[in-house]
Amino acid sequence: MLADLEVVRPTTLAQAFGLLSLSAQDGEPLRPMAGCTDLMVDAHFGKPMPKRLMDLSGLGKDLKKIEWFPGDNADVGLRLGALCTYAQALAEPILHRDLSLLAQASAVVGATQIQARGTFAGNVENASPAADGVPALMALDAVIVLQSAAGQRRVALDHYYSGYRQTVRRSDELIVAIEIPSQSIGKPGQWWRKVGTRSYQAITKVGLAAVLPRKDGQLSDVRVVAVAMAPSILRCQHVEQFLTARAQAQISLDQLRAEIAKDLKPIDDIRSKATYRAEVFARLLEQALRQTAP
Amino acid sequence: MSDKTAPGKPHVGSQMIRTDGRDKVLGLTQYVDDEAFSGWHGATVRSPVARGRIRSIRFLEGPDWRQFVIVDARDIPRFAHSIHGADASHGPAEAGQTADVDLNIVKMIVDDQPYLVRDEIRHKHEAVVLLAHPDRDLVRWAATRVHIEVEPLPAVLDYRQQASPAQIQHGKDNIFKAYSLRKGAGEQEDLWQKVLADATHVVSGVYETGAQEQAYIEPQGIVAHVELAPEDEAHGRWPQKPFHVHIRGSMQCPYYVHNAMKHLFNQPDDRIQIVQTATGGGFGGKEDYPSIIAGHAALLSWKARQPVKMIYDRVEDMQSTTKRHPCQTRLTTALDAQGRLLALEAQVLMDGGAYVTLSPVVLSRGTIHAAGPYSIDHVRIDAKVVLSNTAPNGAFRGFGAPQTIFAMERHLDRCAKQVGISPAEIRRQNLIEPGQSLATGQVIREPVALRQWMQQTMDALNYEEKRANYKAFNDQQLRTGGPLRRGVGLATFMHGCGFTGSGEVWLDSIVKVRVASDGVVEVCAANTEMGQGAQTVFTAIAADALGLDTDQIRVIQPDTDQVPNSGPTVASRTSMVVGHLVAKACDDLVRQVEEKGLLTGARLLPSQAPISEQSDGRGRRYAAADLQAALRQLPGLQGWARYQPPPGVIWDDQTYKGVAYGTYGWACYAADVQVDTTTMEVRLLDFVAGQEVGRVLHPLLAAGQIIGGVVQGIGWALWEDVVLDAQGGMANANLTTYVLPTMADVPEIRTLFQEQPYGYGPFGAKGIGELPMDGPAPAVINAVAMALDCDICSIPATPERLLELSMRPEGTSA
Ligand SMILES: Cc1cc2nc3c(=O)[nH]c(=O)nc-3n(C[C@H](O)[C@H](O)[C@H](O)COP(=O)(O)OP(=O)(O)OC[C@H]3O[C@@H](n4cnc5c(N)ncnc54)[C@H](O)[C@@H]3O)c2cc1C
Repeated sequence: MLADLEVVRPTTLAQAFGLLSLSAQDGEPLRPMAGCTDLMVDAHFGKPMPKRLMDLSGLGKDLKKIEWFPGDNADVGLRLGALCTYAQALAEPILHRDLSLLAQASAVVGATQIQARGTFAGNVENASPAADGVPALMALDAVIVLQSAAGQRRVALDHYYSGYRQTVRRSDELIVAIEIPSQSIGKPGQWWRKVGTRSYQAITKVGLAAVLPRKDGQLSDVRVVAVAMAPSILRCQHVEQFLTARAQAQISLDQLRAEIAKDLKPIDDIRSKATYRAEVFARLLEQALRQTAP
Repeated sequence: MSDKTAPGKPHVGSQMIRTDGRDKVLGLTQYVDDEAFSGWHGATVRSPVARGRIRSIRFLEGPDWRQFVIVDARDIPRFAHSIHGADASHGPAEAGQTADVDLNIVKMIVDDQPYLVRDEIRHKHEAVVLLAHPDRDLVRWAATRVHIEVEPLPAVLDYRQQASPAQIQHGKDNIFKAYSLRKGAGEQEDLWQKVLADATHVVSGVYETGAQEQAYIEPQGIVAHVELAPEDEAHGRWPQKPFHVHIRGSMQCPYYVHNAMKHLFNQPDDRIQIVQTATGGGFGGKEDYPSIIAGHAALLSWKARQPVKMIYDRVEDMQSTTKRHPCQTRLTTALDAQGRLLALEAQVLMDGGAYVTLSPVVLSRGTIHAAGPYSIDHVRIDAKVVLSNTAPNGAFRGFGAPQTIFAMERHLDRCAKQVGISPAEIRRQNLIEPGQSLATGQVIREPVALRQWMQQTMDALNYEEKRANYKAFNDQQLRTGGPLRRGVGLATFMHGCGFTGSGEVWLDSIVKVRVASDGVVEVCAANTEMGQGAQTVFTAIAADALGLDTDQIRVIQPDTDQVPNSGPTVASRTSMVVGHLVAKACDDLVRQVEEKGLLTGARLLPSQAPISEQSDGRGRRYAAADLQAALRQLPGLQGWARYQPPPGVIWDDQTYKGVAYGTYGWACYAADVQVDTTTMEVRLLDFVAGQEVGRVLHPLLAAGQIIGGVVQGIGWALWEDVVLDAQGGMANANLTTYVLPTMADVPEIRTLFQEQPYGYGPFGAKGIGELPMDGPAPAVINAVAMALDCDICSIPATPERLLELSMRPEGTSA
């Protein structure tokens, strides 16, 4: 019951890391809370709730920023602070110009209210296989910046999940930022589609986030990320390999179906059917290839 | 829009501001859970399986059970000498029984459903044990710490399958109720065969519609207070002395709850008080269920010696309360070369769930509406509703009619295809005209002009042009590998207003108006405001019947201590039947003022047309100020009205022949859709709802009823899917996975009204509440079927089902 919860609210990062590592040592780690749009739902449906919570709202000055950061090749990338919300990102013109994938995804997360509260970091850490922010970020090669009292480390988002609803984050660590490398900004061939149960306030039944650039008429450096098709959001390695160095004309829907089957084993659940997911995912990918063709 | 109509201007037909609107908009309205309350909180422990015998009930460690009040079936006396006669609220009484009765029975049509399971569980989430405690969170948690051990019994989980002997739980065959209706050659097998043999086309099909959740915003909630005689306060046994039961809560039909509490507690009328609190939606879901939760709260209150509040959360509400009856309809029609319907055969099978509840009446309406608004000489309808081990299915807007109308309207499009004419043409060929008869033999006397009304809807949608364009569009998409397909669809239908046949006579509704101490006329009726605007409409009717302003009228909150039984708020009857009684009660009031000589000197106004065949609206003869002055001198004066049937409403329950309804609402709806064949998602591009509903009493409220009903119908057609788990429990009992449409999923719903005044409704009004639920599903699915050029015979037509259907080999249907 909510009344029994212990909530701490640090106002500096140092305080936050201190509290986290202490609590981790106690064996009852503090659970970070950002927009709470996942946490409150879990609580409502009676999922076992952590007894101890750390409210991140006091860390806005450090964690709510959207900024450019020095990336590889001395180029500039984009850094979303851990408390950055969908609404905040949608207000950035660059998102619409150079990261259309992320803009499209952000615009249909829940609806207005959820976009105002929900954070990308919360979406990442919640580890839902049907998340909408994660696939867009993954297709853009996003890197998760984890920090603790012991220091900082960077983990590529496509290596962040270790199983169904499991992440590599240690309980003394906080996500402090999500970085999108410079190579992804303005990368051509961005394509995104969510097939939800309805237009808004919908959980994804099947979705595709893809980046499908062409070099000399052939696909190269592609990213194909599947939503609600596996225990976690997943890059489709076989599909990516298959597409690489191929021209549009060399690809058929049947081939896509076969490659997809190597990467993904979707399931039947309360929202959809395995057969629907598999077939629609193949059709989406075909459509993406057609629509991103120069 | 102004707050008041100009002095002397009628309120009926105006855009008068809702009487309950201000408080609702400002968030001031107190729903039952908002009201100040000091007492205990109740929770329900429910069965884990579809069917079985209770072996044991264990109270697990955790809660300090000594702090809880616990009620189970053993607390309710198995037999008591009933002080009441048989109940006739839904039909003629069965042979009068005065012997001992089981109090653990939810009093409705058939005495089969217990408040608490005695030994045999009939459905998952059935109430077994009740708990009360001062702390709301604690009692909810405690309910999860009770383990019910069950010996499973063979359950019926698919109502369409023939029950095996071990699955029989009701009568010899699990059939709750069956009807058959015959017209023309339908009466005689050899003649029937001849009609079929002579026909140019014979078309058959099987159509299925799913369950649907009412999804009122405010879940079920009740506060009960049982006041015992002092002698009974001291001990824990069932009370010996008479006592009082007070119930407040969210409900559609206070007198249904009243009747149920009378039985459960075996008390006379005046010992039971039922008060309706502001109700956040019902749609049929608060027709019968409130009797159950009221009984539970009252049982806990009796044992706890405390007021007890029970509020369901969304999950519990969706798991345990009633749904729309799933239905399978088999149709065979014989047609001539032009597409005229010669004969119709329908076999209707509905899923009643675990107990009878309102199933017989739901099936009745489904049966009567199955043949649609068409003139067909030869008809055979056989309908039955059977048991399955799921939560009982019950009332839901439309009440059985949307199910059979879906079948008929889909079927007609398939017939048109076979005959080689358009969907509009087949309807033109068959729509009923004055002087022709419905399947029941009822001859239509109203001046209906269905072809013309259909054309108006079609024109508003631009149906013909779109149909032609979309054929070309679809061909072009197909050629170029484009994913989009478009279609338009029609449905023509009717809905009977008020209770069926002699139902209104049995209800014997009474309305009272009275003069309050401030001279305001109070309308006392049991019919409830639940968001639909009943209070506003009653206010307008009373004001105009008396020729007074609306601030001289007050509709009082239904409270069985204050209001007579004007029947349930169901069946599209409130404005038409009860509103009419409001006008007549006002007449009676004025007559008495006249008799007292207090209006002899009053200024007279020019005479106006009567309000109806039964109401002259005599109050309007007098200058408002003079009538008002006279009323002020007569505080406590009461005017009464009792239901009188219109002439000629004669119905035979045995043969299902006669005049089923005094009047009908008539409608033609048209849908315009686009399907993305990549994902099989359906998007509505346009929707036009055209209907004839008698005089429109309040244009905005009427449009609101239609738009809301249409969206509910679209939801049922495309998204809303009640998924059952292996025990027949609702697996998606939440609003995340049970998918209701949002604003973003539907286009602007455009409404058209035809008004042909009905002589037995106030100012010519007919019923309107359920009609809009009937047509959207077939209109939308007919449009989708055109878009995809395939046979869709069941709903919800989710993208998953449409994909499966589109990938099936040619020639099979779903
Ligand atoms: C009505 C509704 C609609 C929704 N629709 C969608 C949708 O369309 N698509 C979608 O993807 N999601 C949807 N969601 C889910 C949710 O809104 C998103 O996942 C959102 O991004 C979560 O962010 P949050 O800040 O609210 O997370 P929270 O609920 O605060 O946290 C979620 C998880 O992340 C952890 N966490 C948060 N911040 C950090 C941090 N800095 N470091 C480490 N761990 C952290 C928390 O401990 C928790 O485990 C919806 C939710 C609701 C209630």
